[in-house]
Amino acid sequence: MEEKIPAFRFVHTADIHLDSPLKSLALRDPALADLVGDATRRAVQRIVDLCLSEAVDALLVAGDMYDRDQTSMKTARFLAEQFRRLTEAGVRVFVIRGNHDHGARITSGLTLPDGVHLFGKQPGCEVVERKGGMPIAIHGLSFPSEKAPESLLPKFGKPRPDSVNIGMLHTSLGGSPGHSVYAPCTAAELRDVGFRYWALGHIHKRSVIEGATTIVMPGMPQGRDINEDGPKSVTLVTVADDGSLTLEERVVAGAVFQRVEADVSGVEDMREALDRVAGRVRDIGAGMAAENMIARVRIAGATPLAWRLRRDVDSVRDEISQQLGAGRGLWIEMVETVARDVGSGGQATGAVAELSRLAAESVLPSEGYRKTSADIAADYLRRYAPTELRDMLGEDEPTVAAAISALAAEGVEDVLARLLAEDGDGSS
Amino acid sequence: MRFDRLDLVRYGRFSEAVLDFGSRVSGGPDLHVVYGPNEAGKTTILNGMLDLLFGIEARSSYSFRHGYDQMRIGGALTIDGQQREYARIKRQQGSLLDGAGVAVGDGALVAALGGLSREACREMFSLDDDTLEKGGKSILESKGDLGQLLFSASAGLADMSDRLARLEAELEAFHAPRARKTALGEAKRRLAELSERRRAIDESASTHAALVEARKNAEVAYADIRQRHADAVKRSGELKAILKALPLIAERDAITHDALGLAAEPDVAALRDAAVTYREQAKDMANRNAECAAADQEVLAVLRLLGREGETEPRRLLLPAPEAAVLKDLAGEKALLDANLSAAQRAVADAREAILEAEAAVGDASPDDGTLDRVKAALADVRSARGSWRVEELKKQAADAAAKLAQELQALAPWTGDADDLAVLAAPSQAEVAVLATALADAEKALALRSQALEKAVGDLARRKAELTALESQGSVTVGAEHPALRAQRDRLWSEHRNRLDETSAEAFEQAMRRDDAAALALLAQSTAIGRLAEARAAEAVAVSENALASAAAEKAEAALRDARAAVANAVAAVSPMLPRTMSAHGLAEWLKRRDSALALARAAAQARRDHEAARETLMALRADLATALSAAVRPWTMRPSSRSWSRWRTHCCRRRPRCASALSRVRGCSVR
Repeated sequence: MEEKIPAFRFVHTADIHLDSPLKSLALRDPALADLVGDATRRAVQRIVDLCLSEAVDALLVAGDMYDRDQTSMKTARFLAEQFRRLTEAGVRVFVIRGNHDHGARITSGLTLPDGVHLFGKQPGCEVVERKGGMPIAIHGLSFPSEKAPESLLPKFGKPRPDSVNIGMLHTSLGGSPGHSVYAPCTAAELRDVGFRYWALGHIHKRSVIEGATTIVMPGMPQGRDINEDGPKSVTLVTVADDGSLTLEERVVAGAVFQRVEADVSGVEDMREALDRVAGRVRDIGAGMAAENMIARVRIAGATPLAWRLRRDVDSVRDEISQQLGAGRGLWIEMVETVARDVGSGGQATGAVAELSRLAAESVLPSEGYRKTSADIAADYLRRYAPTELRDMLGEDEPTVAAAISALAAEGVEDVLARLLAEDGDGSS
Repeated sequence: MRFDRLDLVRYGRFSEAVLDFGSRVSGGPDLHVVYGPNEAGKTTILNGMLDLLFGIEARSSYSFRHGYDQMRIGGALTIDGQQREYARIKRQQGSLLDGAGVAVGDGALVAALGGLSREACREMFSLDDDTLEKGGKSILESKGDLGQLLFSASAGLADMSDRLARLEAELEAFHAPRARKTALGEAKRRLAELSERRRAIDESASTHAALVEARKNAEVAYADIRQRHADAVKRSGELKAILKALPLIAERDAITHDALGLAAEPDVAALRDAAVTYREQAKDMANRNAECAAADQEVLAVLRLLGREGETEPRRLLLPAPEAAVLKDLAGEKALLDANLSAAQRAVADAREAILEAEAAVGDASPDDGTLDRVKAALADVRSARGSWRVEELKKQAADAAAKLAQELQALAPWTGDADDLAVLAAPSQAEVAVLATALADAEKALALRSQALEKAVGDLARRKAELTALESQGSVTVGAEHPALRAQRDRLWSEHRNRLDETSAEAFEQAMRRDDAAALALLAQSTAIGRLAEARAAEAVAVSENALASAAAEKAEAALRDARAAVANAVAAVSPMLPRTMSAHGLAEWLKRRDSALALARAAAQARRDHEAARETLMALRADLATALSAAVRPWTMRPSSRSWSRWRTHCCRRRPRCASALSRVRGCSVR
């Protein structure tokens, strides 16, 4: 049997946000709350399991292992314990700090086990020598402070000659409008450094650019709410001795948040509408790699049931959940509806439709209404909302205004639905 | 709802008047303006429309031309896209008629109006200058349920107010500024609860540090407690052992010492050992007896062989030493002679062969004069002189014998001298020495036995004395003396009691009786002790006498030993003053044995010397004879050979020469040596 030099293999992950508090509506369902509450921990365990079962050489964590406002040492200790499982099995762990875990209070109390290398604020380079193969040089740099408005790339050293160079960086890349930038840089700038692989972190959605320099933003391993929807994974990288890379996306998430749109156009019977929505959830769920799918269902289409669906949205959710059944890994987090009403003739007419139009077209966009509603919202938030939710509508004015508009529009529809829908039938 | 046509059939000042608005023109405006001078009837028309929709008022002010029973308004209305004909007359019931004049209910109209009341309808739609002002203000101020009515009417929704009330309730259930239990309030309370729980669950960095420290301390404390526990366990074990020992100690303390028994312990042990030895030796004895019987048989056989059956004294069987020595010498001589004989016989055989060879060698060539006969005679002489060619061998034997003798003489140290000196010594026979040795051994053995017996007796005596002392120390006899007095007193008090038979006398008697019993018991106990003391004293006396006897026997044995040693010393001195006086009987016997052997060797050496001399002389004579005979024989034989016989001789000689030469050389060799 030919003696082959074993390839260098590592798992790349980032943005674990371990023990991040639940903000999801999923909290309403205790079983679902349990599932989501433990999800990040389970993901970490599964990452470690994956590393052990694949017998990789290293685990790379590109920042944001936990939230900035994480205060529990239990979180830190859990991480340390999981890392110890790896180091005891001879798997090396390389960690950089991102904008979140840089300043967290538990960071100072966290003692990482031997065999875990934490890159400091000054860039470092760790070399993994390999018997007969090219050495692996891992360059890394932790966030120097909570913010990093400038690019950190100039701080990195030159690629190590005759080695496979891997860089670790927490970066928002080009950034997105309305969000702060963190160590901004572009793909071209990353390529110019001359490394073979960039292990990035920060953006919660996976993206990959392959080439002479392969740039991987692995995305978070486990979403925390519907805003972090879609399949989440870690990236298993195999560095062959000729320097070629093989990337494999591995799902470690125990639960996936997923938006599901169900069209009930033309359906006039409530039962049929529910069947159709549940069927849609089942279809989407069948294609999921994770064991659990937590769906936010959006009912759309033109149907005379529109007002009833809107008015009875909570019981619709319960009905669909019941149809899906427990223990199948399909959960309904929330049902929202954008279904439009049609009269029996096909076109919404009458005073209600007119009032709806009037509100949407004349009242809501009016300056007076905006101002009044903004004042009321501000007053209510100040007087009645818990401190934690003061910013629930957004942190800056345009966001708040947009949120209020959306809420008002929804409110109009909800009120009309309650006025219109007939009693005594359907699910109410 | 749209008025397509209004018929003012008999109403106010109008009779059979018709206002036709026509059908709705799609796409165009649907606004109609009715105008006229004052008092033309514009308000009447507005009122008529209301009366058509809601019924003619009970007290109508429009009955001034047509009476109540004549009043009638009608029209065509489009409701939900359908045109309908209606007419209204003044009547309590069934005032609304359809196009065919049949009374119909107000339901269709009420539904089309959405529950709008006459009042509201007038305020909204039937506005004159005055009500216009009043009604507009009411709408603007949202007073009353005008807006609601308006919406309700236009949307065709019934019980609008209920629905609104429910919405309101729903809202208040979520949140109301001053309400106690709202969903929002509940959620906030729950949030606070959860935050509190989270704080409780969370572990701050400082708490963690404190916990780590606490763990370290706890580990130290744990180690300490473990150590203490181990110590305690150890101590507990010790205490348990002590607890276990306490009853044993008590038991031990309760044991009374039996001095007698303890003192007798060595005896018991000795007896036990002796018993074991006895049993072993008894077993051995049987074997020995068998061996003894076998030996007896052997002795009998030997005696028979010696012709001394019935001889019981072995000593008498011993040969006297000189005879034995002679016998031994003779035996040695015989062996030597046997050896010589066989050697000589071999020599004869060899010589015979040599002669035969020589004769053969001589063969036909032999001269037939007397020379051969002379050679033969000389050879016969040689043959008769047995062993003469072994003169060298004999010489060596003589030298060896002399050397051995010298060695033997040296082994006789410290005695020194030659063989003759040795021969003249007055040596006792071996039997005599054996007697001395036996006597000495007997004496030594006897002494050992006596000493052992003495030792045992001394030990015995000491033990007896110890027993006696122990018994004597146990107490003196004191009670025995007063017992008769107590007995007498008891008897006296008994008779007194018999006479009196009262409490005092009974008590006195009882006490006397108790004292007497006690004394009797004590006496009994003491008499046992006295008995044991007497026994011990007797045993001691026996031991003393045994001791004396044993010592006397030992002394006697020692004297016997001394005598035996003196006898041995005398015997040694009698042999030679050169021997040490301390030589033992055994040593003497050995020395004598060596002397006998030296003497024998001396005799053998002398014999060897003599043999050597004789052989030499014989050899010299024979050599001379043979030489003469040979020289006479050889000469003619070489001088006159016939030609025929010469060639035969030569041939023969050539064939025989080697053998002849060798025979000659052997003869010559003998002679030369």
